[in-house]
Amino acid sequence: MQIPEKLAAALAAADEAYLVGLCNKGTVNRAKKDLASLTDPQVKTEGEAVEVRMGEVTCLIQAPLGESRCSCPSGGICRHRIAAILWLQQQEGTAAPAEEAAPEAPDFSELRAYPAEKLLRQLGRRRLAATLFRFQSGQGAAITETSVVTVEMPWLPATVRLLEPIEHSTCSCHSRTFCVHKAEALLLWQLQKGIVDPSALEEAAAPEEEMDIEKVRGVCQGVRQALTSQLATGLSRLPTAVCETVERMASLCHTAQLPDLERALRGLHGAYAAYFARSAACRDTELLSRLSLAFRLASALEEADGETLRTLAGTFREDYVPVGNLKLYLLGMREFSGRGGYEGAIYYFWEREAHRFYTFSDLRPTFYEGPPRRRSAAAPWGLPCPLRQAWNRGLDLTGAKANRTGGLSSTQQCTAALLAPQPPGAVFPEEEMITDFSRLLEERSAPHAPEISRLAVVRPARCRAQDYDTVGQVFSMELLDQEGRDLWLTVRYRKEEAKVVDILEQLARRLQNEEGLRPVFFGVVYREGDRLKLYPIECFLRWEEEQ
Amino acid sequence: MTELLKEMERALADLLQSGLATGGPAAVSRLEKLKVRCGDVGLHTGAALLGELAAALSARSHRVEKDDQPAAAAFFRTVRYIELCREKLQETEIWRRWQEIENQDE
Repeated sequence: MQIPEKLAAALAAADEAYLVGLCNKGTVNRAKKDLASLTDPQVKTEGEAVEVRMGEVTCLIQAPLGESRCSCPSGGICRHRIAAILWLQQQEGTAAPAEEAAPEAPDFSELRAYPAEKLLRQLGRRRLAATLFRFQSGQGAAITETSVVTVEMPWLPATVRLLEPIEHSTCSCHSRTFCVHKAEALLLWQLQKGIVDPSALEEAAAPEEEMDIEKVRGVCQGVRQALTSQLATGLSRLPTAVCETVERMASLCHTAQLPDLERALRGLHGAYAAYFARSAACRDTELLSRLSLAFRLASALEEADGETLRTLAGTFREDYVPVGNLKLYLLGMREFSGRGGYEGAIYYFWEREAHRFYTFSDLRPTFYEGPPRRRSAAAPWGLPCPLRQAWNRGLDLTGAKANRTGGLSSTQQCTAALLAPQPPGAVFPEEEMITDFSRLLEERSAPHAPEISRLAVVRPARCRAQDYDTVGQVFSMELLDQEGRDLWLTVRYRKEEAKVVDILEQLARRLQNEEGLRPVFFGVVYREGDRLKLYPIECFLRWEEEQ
Repeated sequence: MTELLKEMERALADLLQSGLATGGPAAVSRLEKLKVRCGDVGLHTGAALLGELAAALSARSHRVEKDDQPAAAAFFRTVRYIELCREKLQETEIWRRWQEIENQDE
């Protein structure tokens, strides 16, 4: 029997690794067994292909081998086709060599020539950023080259076998199409080979989808007119229904892809709700500020276009990028209930090696359904207990993801190992502890800076508890440094802050009775009027000892 | 200056309470006075903004068909101006307070 030249070349080039790449190891092993029991199949040449009849089954073997067909119902490369290929190789005297004696690796010209732009389109901006980060941080895939390129990506997890022609590549997700795993694997291989330049890829990343400018302008004009009308009417004459009006406008902004304006309006909704509920914490200056922010943002968006419009519109959710392994220590947590319509808990971590803070927010929106009656405590990263029980313990995260401002993702690809409890003084470095309040003013109190850059651990030289302000419903304590500079620990009473105020009042009593008590405070620094202030997240009475 | 900024903010908060329709005409003279005081202490942008707001409120009350947009725009720009002035002054004010405390201790 004469095997066509093209098919003969394909059979000669196909070693065991290639056959495994076409299907999987199990199918190849099963085909080998079938081959051993195979007796004289009927063979005939059909143009550029060879038809092999093995009992009930007929296979049409042709080059490229991945395009061979079989009469069995299997959609992929079945054991019959592999058995037929192996039998033909035996007839040609080119039986598939063992993996260790593989022939010289091909040059993968098709894989090299695959355009990076197509991969970019398939992966999208986020996935591309994550792939580049992994490659640049050396946490890339395990890549081996034989007659196929095997790319193992444990973070997915997926194993991709890239072979030529590329459409016959296989993935452990069993997708027949060119799935994102295959695209990611090919990009990682091209990066490793230096075929594509990472910086050029970042630049070429596809721009975000265009915004509907007419729709944006319509929504912004509506917001501006509604706020103007509220200002013309005046707070004292506004009906309580204004809260729903503002919430409806926020929803419109959401659909028009304007997240920053949506946030501003949700904040305004919260301020209006506090005003109509006659909350003690409500200040008309806050309403002024929130109205002003929403009005100015709507006006600016109405006039903007192109890149300015996208910048002003903001982002719904910040991208989380892989940050590798983190050695964290849970320093504190606080209950959060924002005027913007989110409620839950925020956890604050200290990174023991990079010496910086990270946060994890377990927040849920309350603007549609109101606060949940009962919330389950967050236990992310496969933790065996709720995160709040990990207080004063180390947490080693593997495969963590964080956003630009240090917010951690609860991704299931990240796992945490819980360490034994340790006193914070044994973990937190002494040089990071702030005892000179002028440092707080210069380094941690910039207005509008994100909260994470205003976090500080403070040890005052003295503490002076103040009388509770019953009119303003404010608890305050004066903290003084060695030079007598003051920092004001202030908590305005709200239902959610009741526990915090209780604890601080207990502390104030202890400070009066126990001389020499030097608490350490962890909190957020901010400026108000001519005072530097601290919102307390945690207070440590035994910093160096077990709590 | 801090006191003046507080008074400006108070005037705007009162105007927000009463509304442009009701409190506008009455607020004009108060805003004009604050404008003069701003000019005296060197807050020229503040003076210009207050003047713009007063003029818009005054013009509004002389029209049959009310156009609130110019007054609203001037109003919210002034609110932002006060916020920015506050932020700029805050650091200086805190240092000044600490200096006073230090001097008292000595």
